[in-house]
Amino acid sequence: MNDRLYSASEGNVPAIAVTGVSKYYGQFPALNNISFEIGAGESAALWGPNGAGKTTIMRCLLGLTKYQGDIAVAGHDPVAAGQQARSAIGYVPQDLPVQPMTVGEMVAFIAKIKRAKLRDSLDRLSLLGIENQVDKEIRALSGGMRQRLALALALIGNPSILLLDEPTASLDAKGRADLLQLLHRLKGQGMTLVFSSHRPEDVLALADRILMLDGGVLSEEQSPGAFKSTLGSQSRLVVFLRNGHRQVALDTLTEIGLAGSGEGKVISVPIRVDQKAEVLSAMARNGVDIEDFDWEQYAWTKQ
Amino acid sequence: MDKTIVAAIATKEARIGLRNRWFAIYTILFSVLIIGFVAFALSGSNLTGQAGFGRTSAGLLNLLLLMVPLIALTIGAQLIASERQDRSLDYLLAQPLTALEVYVGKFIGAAISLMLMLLIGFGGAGAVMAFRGGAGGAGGFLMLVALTLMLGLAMLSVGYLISSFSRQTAAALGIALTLWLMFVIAGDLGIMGSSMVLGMSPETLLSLTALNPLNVYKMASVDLLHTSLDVLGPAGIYAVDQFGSAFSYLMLGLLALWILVPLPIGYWLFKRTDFQ
Repeated sequence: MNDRLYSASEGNVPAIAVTGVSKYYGQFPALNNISFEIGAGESAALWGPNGAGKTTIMRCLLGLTKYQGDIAVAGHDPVAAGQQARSAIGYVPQDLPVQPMTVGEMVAFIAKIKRAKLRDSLDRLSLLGIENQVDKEIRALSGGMRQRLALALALIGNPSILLLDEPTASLDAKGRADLLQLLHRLKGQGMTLVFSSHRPEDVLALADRILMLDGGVLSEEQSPGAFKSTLGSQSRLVVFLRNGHRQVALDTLTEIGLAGSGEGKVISVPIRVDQKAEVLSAMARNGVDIEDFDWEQYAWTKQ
Repeated sequence: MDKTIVAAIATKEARIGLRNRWFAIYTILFSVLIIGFVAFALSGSNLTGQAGFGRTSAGLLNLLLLMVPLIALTIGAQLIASERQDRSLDYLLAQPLTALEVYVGKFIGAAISLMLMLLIGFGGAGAVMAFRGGAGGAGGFLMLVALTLMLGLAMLSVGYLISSFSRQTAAALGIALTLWLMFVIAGDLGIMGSSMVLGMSPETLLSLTALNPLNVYKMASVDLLHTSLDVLGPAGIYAVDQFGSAFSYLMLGLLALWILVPLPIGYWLFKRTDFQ
């Protein structure tokens, strides 16, 4: 692909401009006076707990719900000029709806409504490595394959903005790595990315800016560096060991400047989001026999 | 409104409709009942030719009055509500198209699969009638088919209206079934009872009758099949007196209104509905 294929807007018009947007469901404020801008070619992550307003913002950007305030997507109002606004967006839902269609039929359908050439649209399948699935029923695809298809469909018609709702949620480790790599490549080609994720690694891998949402309020905007330090010790690695390896494991942690604790075959250690590999490698180097491990995050917002 | 997009949505909708297990169930049920009825009716009489077609067609009316509205209402009621429930509607509306294109395309697609379903049943029944009773009176049968397709479209349109504002498929189906019961039972019996208690004039009675699309279909069918409207009671006699030969057109017009009027109302509700 060319170096820079996507251009979200003409001149200095931001790819997305959200000004004073509020959304109420009855008395419940799903979004409360939110404002932000995302420049062309930027990558922004929407970060926050469930119910923070991430999906509602996406629905507003797509013109799927009414709101108070102003939104411009590539210069177009998603409600008043929805078709033009959505022409600029490729939308990747968390779960692609399963309809009784084959992959090829779905690609042909989306190509028609996006007024794109079928051949070019089918090429998107090759880009995602699923060109051999064209005759398969969508319902027969695995979660990972379905997510790739969702991205392939979103890329039909060359949109300048990709809107992704938890894109890696249903993917295994390899699928996630592949997808992140592809998104990184698209970003490099000038595509604007807006995505929500529950995974800090995804955010750190892709985002230029992180929009921190809580209770429908945009509490803060952060750079990846600030985000990393915000998360700080807000995660914990739990390691399951073979008998007799606990003390060596705890000593290893002390060696790399961490303070772990544990009983029996299990130890737990508060770590930074990006320290998992470092801890596990150090233990392996010192001959700690690891049966399994788990990683959990404590909190979503800045402490 | 872009016709290419509407056609794409209609084609997809019809394709999905034809692959739906309910399509197979309804088609088999409708075909078996209608063909079974026709075969039974013909075997019970020694009539041939025109009499065979004419009488059988008239006898079919009651079966069609029950089945077609039930099928069409339930199909229509699921069209938007089920996609709203599984979020596939959001995905479709997230594409560069308008809500009107989606609304019109989905209705056309569902109408195509419904008509195909009815025509399969009627085709089988027609074949049995032609085989057993000769070709005479086929015009009456074809007229009944055309009227029944109109009734199907009218009920699909009403079901679609229900779907437009329903969040859950179960709720939409509940409303559709209640409405079907009202049309089938409360329509006839309610009007009959009210007219006796309130001493309604034939004029009022006819107006009330026209409010029920099933009654409109029944009156149009009876008239077009050249059966006396006396069988429809005072309202029928009054209708013939007042409108004479224009009566058929009036009924056809009313049935057409039942197809057309719910659609813009449904679209308005569809645009207005904003679920979380």
